[in-house]
Amino acid sequence: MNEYKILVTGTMGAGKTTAIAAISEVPPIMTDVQNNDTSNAKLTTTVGLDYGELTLDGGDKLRIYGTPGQERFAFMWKVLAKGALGLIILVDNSRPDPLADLNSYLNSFAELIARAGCIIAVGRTESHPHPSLDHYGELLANKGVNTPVIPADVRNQDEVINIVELLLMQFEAKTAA
Amino acid sequence: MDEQIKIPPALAQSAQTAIDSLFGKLAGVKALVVASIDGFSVASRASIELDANKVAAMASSFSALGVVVAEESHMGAKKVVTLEAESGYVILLDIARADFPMVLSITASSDTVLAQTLYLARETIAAIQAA
Repeated sequence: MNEYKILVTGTMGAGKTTAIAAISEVPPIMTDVQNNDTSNAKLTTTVGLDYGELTLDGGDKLRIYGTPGQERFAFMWKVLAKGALGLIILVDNSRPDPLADLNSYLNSFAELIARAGCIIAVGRTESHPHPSLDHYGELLANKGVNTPVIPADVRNQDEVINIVELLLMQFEAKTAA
Repeated sequence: MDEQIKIPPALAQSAQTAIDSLFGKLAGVKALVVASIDGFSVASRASIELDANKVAAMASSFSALGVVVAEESHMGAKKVVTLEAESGYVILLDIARADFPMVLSITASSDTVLAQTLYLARETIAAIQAA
């Protein structure tokens, strides 16, 4: 049985806390506080980390960490990326420039992406179909990042488990190569 | 990823006045930063070079981590986060205003008397809470 540390990142409101709460088999640890950022209507925001655990069918255990989304907490991104074997980037397609959001996280987590598995999960695509997944694919190709992009509703437990399993497959493929 | 915060101007002024006063009373103090609970700088005073915005974000994170560490350790509500480093201390205390919760970050040298620092800091916090 293996134990993996994986990281979930993305903009404020993309659903990091929700995704971890959807699949954690232990009560998730959350560090949400009152949000004072007037550019986002959310009432609370994560300022430290989220944490959850999940045991997969084969017995492998995942320790899942969520980052704060905002750039001012980038120091936590570095702390949390240590030892991680996979990264899930949640993108909110309803934001003004989701491609720029993704680009920013690709740059910030470049070292982790190069050595670990990575999945891009795009949310709110039904209400906000643009940019399309092809546009994300173009951005990734231009940056030389070879990683899957899938639409996802992180409120749905099955969809989040699917993302995690894809991530592990990608990590295993990478380590086997 | 533009971030914006609207700090009530009177509150920012009160916080600045309170920490200016504390700065003059505390032996060994290097920096004081009042941060919003979600990591924005509200007021600061320092005798060392320091990025108040960065300190504010870190104070927010580590204060929140202190809450969950205390809870998960069955130690009840967090009161103070104290970090002892090679050259001194970083102390984080809550400023529990219902309308605008904040954190006071104190950076002080090793020769600081912690009990005295906490006593005076709590007077400052009471002043900001009452403002």
